[in-house]
Amino acid sequence: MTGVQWLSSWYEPGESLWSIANKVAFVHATSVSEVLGYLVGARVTAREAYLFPPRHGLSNIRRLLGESDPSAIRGCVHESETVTLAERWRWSMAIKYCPDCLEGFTHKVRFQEIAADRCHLHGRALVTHCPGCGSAIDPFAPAAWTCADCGGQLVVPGENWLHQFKSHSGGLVAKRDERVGVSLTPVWGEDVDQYRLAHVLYEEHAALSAALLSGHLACMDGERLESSKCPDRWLHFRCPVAGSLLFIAHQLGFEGQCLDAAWVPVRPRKTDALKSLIGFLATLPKPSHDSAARSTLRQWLLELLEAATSAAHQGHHKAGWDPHSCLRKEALKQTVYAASIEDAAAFASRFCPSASTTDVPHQEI
Amino acid sequence: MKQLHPFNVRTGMRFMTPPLREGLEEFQSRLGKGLAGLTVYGMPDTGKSTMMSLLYERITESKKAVVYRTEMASSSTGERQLMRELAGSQQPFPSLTPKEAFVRGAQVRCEQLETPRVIILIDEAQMLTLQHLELLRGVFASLTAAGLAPFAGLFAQPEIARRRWELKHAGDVSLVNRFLGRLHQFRGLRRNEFEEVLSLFDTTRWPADGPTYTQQFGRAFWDRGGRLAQLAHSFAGEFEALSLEWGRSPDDLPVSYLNEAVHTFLAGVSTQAGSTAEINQLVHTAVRTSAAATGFEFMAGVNLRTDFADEAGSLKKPKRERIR
Repeated sequence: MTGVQWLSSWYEPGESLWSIANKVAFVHATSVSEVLGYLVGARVTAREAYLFPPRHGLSNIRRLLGESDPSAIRGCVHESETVTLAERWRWSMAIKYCPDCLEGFTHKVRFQEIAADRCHLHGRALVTHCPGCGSAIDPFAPAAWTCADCGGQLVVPGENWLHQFKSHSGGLVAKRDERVGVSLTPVWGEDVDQYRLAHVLYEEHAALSAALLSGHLACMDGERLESSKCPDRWLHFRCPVAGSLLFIAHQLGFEGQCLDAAWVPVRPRKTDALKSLIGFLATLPKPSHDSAARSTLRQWLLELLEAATSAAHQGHHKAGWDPHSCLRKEALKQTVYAASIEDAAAFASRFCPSASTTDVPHQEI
Repeated sequence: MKQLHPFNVRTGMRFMTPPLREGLEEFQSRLGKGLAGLTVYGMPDTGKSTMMSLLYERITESKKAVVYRTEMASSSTGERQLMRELAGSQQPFPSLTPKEAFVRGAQVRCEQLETPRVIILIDEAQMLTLQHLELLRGVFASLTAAGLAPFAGLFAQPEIARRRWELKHAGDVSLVNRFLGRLHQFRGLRRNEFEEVLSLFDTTRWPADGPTYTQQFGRAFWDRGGRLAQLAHSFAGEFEALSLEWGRSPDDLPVSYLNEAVHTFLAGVSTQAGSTAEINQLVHTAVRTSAAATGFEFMAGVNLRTDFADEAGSLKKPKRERIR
């Protein structure tokens, strides 16, 4: 007996682990973060586990929930053994939900696909922002079905919640607060949702960090120290991978938290770099905003990596670095896109041989 | 978990003694009548905690009710801590509002077992403060509103009667009625019950085809054909003399005292005694030794009716000078 209060009848096929975690969190009057941490080891520094659990993660979740049926809760997470970066980029970390489904306390895994914009059951447009404050919905909320940013409830269970969970209906879903919407009028143009773009950039950075930084966490503290001492010397970072990602995080105002594969619940600061990047994206056609934001960030990283690697090679030539191993931009791009996360981590380690290979977030999860 | 051998009175050996049987019957009766609770009180070492453990195991096994239990460590236990302890040590998450977590958890468990009955067992309940009882009242109200039928089993030292009196005079009659309205005194052994209890030592085997308690700890005595039940009169006589000497009722002997005396007796009789006179002397020594070992003498002169419980409303303090 694990002590987790859970009933099999609460599960609806295709329901996400986030949805399950919310129900468990509600019953235990605890935070969703605690439950996700308990079920799949997801932490603020390794958030992806709620969508991409570690190997045998699903059977472990079943055991912890007390489910004896081996086919129970199938499909609550992404079940592939290996998640490629290309696959990872198809998924959104921030919660997107269908108001009709949420009324039944259900959130489906497929809503998290970036391409999904409508509920396949109800046909309604998926909600991507908190109805109260307009921020992206962090899955790691302090309470069940709440926004981590403003604390507003997304759906409110009634007195007969036990029946509501079983019947998958009856929840009172929060509607968008129009007054808040007015205050969020975009600065750079009527058609640009600055929060959405900032969040897309934010997620993209977190995904890249999660994939590339695995062996370089030990480098992070040293790089942070170096950059704080002399921020202009970014091309002379000792670890090109950590340095490049750190540089972008600083420029965009994500601080160092993205570099730990974190998706922090606070909004990024409105830095000049972020403003100009969003300003640039605002000039592009609206449908391509998201993909353009992601491509721009990747491109930026590749350029930084290449430049930083070249500088590092020059500085460390006598220490045994092979200047011919400096990959060209296209090769970099190909490797990063096609490789699995583990391969990408190994690839990134080539840029910094001194990087630790034991502290790998994805293996820890 | 390490299995404790039940052939040890200190590690979980339980005999169905007459007071325990009466207590269980009373509990069953109150439960069947749909009442909100029962308070079992009695002198230390009479077997109240044993009864609580037995209830917990039986109810859990029967799956006819959801049962929670805890032991009050002190009266300063916080309300949140009490809720957490009631919910159990296996809770995987720290709850922000333990009361809500407890109520919701009980609802889920009742749904699993398909029963509306929730039983809360609290040992050392004399340490429950007014705040604790009000918290329990709130929990009961929430459980009742959810369509469940909660029942509180409180196990306490005699001081609970004073708490009951204080609450009644503080004007909180509903609290008294709900939790402390029904008292059951868990009595000690009577002289005429010694034979029945001692025969349990002679007949209970562990494992099923293993030795009896008497056989296990008094091998030589057993092999000579000796049985504890035959010594019931001697034990009763010795305890009667001791009780009268210390100003206690000879028909209210805590079970643990007899257990201790039996254990001491068997330890001695295996090595030396043989004749009737020697055996009687050993019984005498064992009873006296166990009285000192179990604190029998410290409770001498304390009378439940006059020192703690006061139905008439005149509160009296324990007569400490007599205890000295």
